[in-house]
Amino acid sequence: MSPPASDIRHWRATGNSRSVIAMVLEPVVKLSTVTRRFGEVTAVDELSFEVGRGETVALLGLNGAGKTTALELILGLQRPEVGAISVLGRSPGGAVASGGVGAMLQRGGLPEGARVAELVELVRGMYRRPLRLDESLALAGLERLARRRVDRLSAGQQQRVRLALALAGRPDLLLLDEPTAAMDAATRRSFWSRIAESAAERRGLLFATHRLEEAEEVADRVLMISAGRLVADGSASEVKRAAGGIAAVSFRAPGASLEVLERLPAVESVVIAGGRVSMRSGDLDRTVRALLASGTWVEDLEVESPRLEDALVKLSGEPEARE
Amino acid sequence: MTPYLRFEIVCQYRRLDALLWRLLLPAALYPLFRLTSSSAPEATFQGLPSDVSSMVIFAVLATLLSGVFATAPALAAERASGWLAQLRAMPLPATTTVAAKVAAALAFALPAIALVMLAAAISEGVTLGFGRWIELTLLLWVATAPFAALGVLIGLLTPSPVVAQSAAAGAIAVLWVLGGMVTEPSDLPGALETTAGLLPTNAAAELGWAAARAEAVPGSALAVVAGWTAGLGTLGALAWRKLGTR
Repeated sequence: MSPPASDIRHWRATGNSRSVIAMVLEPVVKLSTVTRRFGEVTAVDELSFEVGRGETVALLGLNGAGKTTALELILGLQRPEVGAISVLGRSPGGAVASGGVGAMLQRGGLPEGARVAELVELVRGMYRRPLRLDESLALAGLERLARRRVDRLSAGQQQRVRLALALAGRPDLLLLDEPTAAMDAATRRSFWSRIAESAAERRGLLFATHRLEEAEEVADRVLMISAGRLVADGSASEVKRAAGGIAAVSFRAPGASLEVLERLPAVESVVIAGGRVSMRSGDLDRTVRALLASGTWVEDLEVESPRLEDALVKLSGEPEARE
Repeated sequence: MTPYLRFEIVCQYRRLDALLWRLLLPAALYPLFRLTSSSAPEATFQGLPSDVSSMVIFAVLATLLSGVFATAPALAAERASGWLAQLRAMPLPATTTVAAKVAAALAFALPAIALVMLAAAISEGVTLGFGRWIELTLLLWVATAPFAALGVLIGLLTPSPVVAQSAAAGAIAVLWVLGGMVTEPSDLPGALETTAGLLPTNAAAELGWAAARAEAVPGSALAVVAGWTAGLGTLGALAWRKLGTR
């Protein structure tokens, strides 16, 4: 079941992951009914949200949901047709010009011919109180690549250079657009641990991602957007709960009967194929407890996390959830 | 020199392929042209021996290549790759970025012009007084400014390096032919003769020829260079601003 709109509004007001301090102080980022269109397409549609001080917020959505446009609006690279944006208490352009923002764009190319260290040094020089060069390189794991030309690095190494550029100025607000898109699981983990190492330096982090598990692991709060609109705002578990009925479990259960499995609480569907049972449930905890209590012999149990696609369909498909 | 300009120049000097045609091509073409030229050694053009007048023309080619052809595709590539957007997301004033692109083009034009002079001195034995060499080089260098501004404008308006390269080559060809670099402007038909005098290629050559003839700097040619630089520079700044606030 998806939550009624009133529940979503409730999270916005009282979401328990937002600290009291963050609510009292001025937000680091504030969008008020912002709309941005490209011809016929409305990329961002009356979008309103805030990022409080000290918060790490994930902007979660499928490709084309409007995440990149939202970040570019916050950076002043785009201008909204309607609505207002405040970044660190200033206009987006003013916040960038003052050196308060560090950004890693999704498609931020690197200049041909530049060496890693001189590029980081150039960017350090633009900010008032940058990290030391060696600190910037170390945070991105680039010490051994300092003298290499950026156009001769692998895609993953180039992504680390982009991270070093975003962190070098010790910005108050860090904006990352799909920073781990091209990374394998191990690289992703080390990327986020590098970001965590630099957490003390800043007042806010907003990152776009299409991975629910990434949002869950890293963010204090998740903003889910679909077709440019905010469809959920809360902690990752709240968003997952809002997307209810999408968790799945699969296992081997020799001799289990379909009727018994279908009668388990909260079960939405059961499929038995090749001796393996796949079950979708609205409340996985209840279903699995009942399954084990029923005496059914269960082997090789696998739990599948709720899928973002399902969550988005659930959340954005409900007209009342759109307000 | 701003750190960003220094960075631009260092990076551009590392691109060896670009360096070759940017710096060496005009200097290499000059002796080749003289070798195949049918004009007699005593022939004159613009009141100068033909080896001197064509040296000026090839130096103008050097300013065009360094200004337009080196700048436009490189800038379009940076735009297409997203580096320009990344720069706009950093505390670097837009004027610094655009000005650095123009200044970097000028930093390459100076040695390119000097290399043409050197090639003329070596291959044809062209001799001018020391002061005239300096004046000629500096005037042609100043005349690179509108071409650099044009290169920036093309780079900002074109979606990819390939398109930028074609646009730059087209612009160079038009400026070259209509600017009277192939035939004397007076041999151009009717209205084109007037147009030629208003083009920055012709103005650059006029500045060079006047210096070679040891005449006073022609104010009209300087005005044409200044006018084109201001006009194209303004358009470039507007294009940059439009890009920045899509």
